[in-house]
Amino acid sequence: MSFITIEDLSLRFGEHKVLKDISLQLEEGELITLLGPSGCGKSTLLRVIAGLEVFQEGNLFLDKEDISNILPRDRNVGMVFQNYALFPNMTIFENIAFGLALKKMPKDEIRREVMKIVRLVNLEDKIDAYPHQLSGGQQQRTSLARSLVTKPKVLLLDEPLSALDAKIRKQLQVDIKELQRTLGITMIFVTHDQEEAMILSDRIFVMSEGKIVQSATPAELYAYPKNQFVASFIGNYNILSAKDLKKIDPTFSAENAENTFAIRAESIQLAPSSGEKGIFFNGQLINYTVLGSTIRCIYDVNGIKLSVDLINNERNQESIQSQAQLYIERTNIISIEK
Amino acid sequence: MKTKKRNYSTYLILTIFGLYMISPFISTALYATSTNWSNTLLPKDFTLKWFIELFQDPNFISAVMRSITLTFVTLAVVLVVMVPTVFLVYMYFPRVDNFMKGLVLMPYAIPAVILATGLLRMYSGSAIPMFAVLVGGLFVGSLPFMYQGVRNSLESIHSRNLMHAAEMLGANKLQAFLKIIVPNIKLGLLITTLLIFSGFFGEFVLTNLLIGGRYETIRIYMMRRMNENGHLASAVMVAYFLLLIVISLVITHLTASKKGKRTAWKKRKQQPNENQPFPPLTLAQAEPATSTEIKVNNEKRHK
Repeated sequence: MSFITIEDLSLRFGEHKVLKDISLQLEEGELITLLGPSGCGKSTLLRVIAGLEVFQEGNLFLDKEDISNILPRDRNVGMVFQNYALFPNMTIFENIAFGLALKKMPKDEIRREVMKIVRLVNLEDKIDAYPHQLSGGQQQRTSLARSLVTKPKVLLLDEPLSALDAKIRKQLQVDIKELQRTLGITMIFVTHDQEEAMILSDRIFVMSEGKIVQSATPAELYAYPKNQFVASFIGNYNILSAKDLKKIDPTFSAENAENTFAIRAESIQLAPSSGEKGIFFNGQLINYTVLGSTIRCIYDVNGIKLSVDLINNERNQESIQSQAQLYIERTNIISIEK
Repeated sequence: MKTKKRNYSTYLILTIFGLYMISPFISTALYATSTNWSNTLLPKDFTLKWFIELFQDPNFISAVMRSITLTFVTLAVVLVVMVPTVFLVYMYFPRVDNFMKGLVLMPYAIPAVILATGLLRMYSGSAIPMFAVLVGGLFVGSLPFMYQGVRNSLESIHSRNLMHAAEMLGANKLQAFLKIIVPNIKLGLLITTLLIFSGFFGEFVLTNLLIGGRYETIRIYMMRRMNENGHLASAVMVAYFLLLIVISLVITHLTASKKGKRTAWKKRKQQPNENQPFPPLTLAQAEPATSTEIKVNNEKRHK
């Protein structure tokens, strides 16, 4: 049995089934991400693991123990909330020490443990401050420290970075990953940001409408999305029917006319002058946007709109014209489920 | 220049507002410290004899004490009953919350005279003392302020998240409520308490109709003396205002945050220790854990 095992778990709020037969397994020391759009049930699943929601069907095991009926405070599970949930009446030191004080740990030991974790998250000079005196990033680091100091078996993070600005978010993503590797702690991270999931995760579980639709490593997930939802959620994919694809490549023949195909935007290139084997086709430029290191072009190919990501270099900048010959390798056309 | 103009207009508005608020009090105070004030802008003399007479009257002191007793007993009942109730409804019975929000507005629909008549018909001659009935009546009257005040305080601190965070750290519900929720809604509670405190202290209709003859509070005393002497009644009014201010200040002081004191104490206690028992560790210095290290770390955690 894995460190965390969830078997056929379902949860209903009244008549509405929020989680539908969820099954997942997680090894000790792993960092997984629950990724999905708002309302897909990812935070609810996290709250189920924390014990803050009661599920009706299925099993939930943590470290070989059935924790279905164990109170949140007895599960030894830590949780970091989106809005930090720091206690405003306590200093940073008191916030972090709260869990240890409840365990009736001697004061000297509490102080030692708190200072150790405070150093790890670089907040030594803030221990006497109150939460409202800290920036968002510092508050979230405090929240992390407060959860980690009690040495939970698993740390749950419910969109912890979504309230932060881009720069701090990126820094904290790196910090969380390093912290997880340093401490070897098992983490479950909830996010709706696919880039964040890619950066952080050992494995990603994509959720939609209360179900896990695909679980894989970030690289696998990006290269081989299982269905149309994952392809559209995880990256900038062009989703095409067999009929659409035939308009681009008249020689194309699908086994099943109902099949759907996905083409990554960056796998379509401006056609090389010669020497490549693949599909060549002409496109009319509708629009283009510079996204920093890439340029996103929208081409019309026989009535089909294709999104094409080009590297933002001098050659490509010069090549972007109203008419262009484009090129895809056949191996980059992935067949997916609807 | 624009800023200056705005400043002047702000001060002007504030001054007019201040004068509007304070002038009745000043006029009452002037009337209470004079023996003759008619046909002149200001009183013709100054005297403290009404205050001396007032404070020498044992009935006045008794009336003040009765008002304080009634107010604090009712406040205690309201706080002890309502704070946990509103908390439980807000946290665990959100559907009941909508019903409660409507229900607590009912006192507005029932005039105090009708409420008093109903209470008299119901409880007069019963084993329940009328003082307790009055406390109950005042309790009901305070519901709109108390329910909404406590509820807003709970909402403003995101109490659901705070409770969950405390529980995840090992606190039981009572510990989380007492250590986290109550200290954080203290300011909201204080404001609500002061609001209903002044309401209770100055309550007249219900008190007069239910137990007025046997239990003379300061407002009933004031009404009685007003018929005897206007200057004395003004002195009662001034004393009443001052008493309210003093009690409000005392309540504020007693319940105010002691953050400053506590922080100073902590700072003294947490003087930097030069002989730290462990070397500083930063994320940058820390090596990524190998799978063996992860296992070792986890074993340590289990121990």
